[in-house]
Amino acid sequence: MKFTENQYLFSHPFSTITSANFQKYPNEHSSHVLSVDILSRSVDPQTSILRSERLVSVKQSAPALLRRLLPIPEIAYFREVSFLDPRAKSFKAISSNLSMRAIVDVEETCELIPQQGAEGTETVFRQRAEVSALGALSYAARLVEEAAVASFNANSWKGRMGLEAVVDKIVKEAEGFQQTVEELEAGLRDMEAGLKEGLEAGIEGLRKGSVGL
Amino acid sequence: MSSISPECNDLKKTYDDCFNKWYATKFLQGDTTPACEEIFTLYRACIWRAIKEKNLDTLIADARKEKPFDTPDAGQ
Repeated sequence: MKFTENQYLFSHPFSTITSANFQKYPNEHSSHVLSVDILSRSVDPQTSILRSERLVSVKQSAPALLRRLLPIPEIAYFREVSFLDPRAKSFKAISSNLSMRAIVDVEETCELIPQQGAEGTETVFRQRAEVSALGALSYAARLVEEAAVASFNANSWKGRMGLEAVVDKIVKEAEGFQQTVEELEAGLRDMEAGLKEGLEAGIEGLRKGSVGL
Repeated sequence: MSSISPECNDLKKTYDDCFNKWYATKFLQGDTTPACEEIFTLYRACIWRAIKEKNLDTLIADARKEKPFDTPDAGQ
């Protein structure tokens, strides 16, 4: 059995990071992720916790040596279950492999934890993985565990970069939206002013006995 | 993001857009009443056809039994 852990800090609030996380794929760092589907989703009426169950397919990157030893498919499937607690502001996702279960068990836990930083609200992203290959003492099992951990660590960094890219996109979209709202508001103010002017002219016209509209 | 089956991509996009909007404008603001249910039913029916074709349905059923992950206390 092998463990690995990574932790990153995002200088964005919990709401932005979790919004980005739900739409993380595709991004320019995620060519290994082939598809993401939502299998089920529900909100607990008592706790308001949002539970999502997703099916993710990933292109495998096992070393050639391992490929010669074991029947490793080109595409691996993972099931991810996540819990988002809007009251406690916590997010946790647990992923486990659906493919190659006779050879290896990979369990990954990701958490998003808000914290107060020097420049406002930040979010800590903590990722842990546990890999256990069947036949724990064999050479092949050790190779499987090492390969899984190496690929996990490589993908973890890609995941961090990918999430940051999606956050940037969302923030820009929100700014664009804000700009649109401001433009709309300015337009409405102009229209209102125009209407008021028109109305006043109309009233003035009526007073003078002519139809000024 | 692509769906497991190309024929579900349009349904998935409509559902994702609906969910992401609901998440940001309702759920995070405290209105946790579920939404997007109709499109989710259609999208789910589409992917389950693909899941069965790829023989992933038993793998998913086994995983749900072995690791239900039904509470946030699950996992490490």
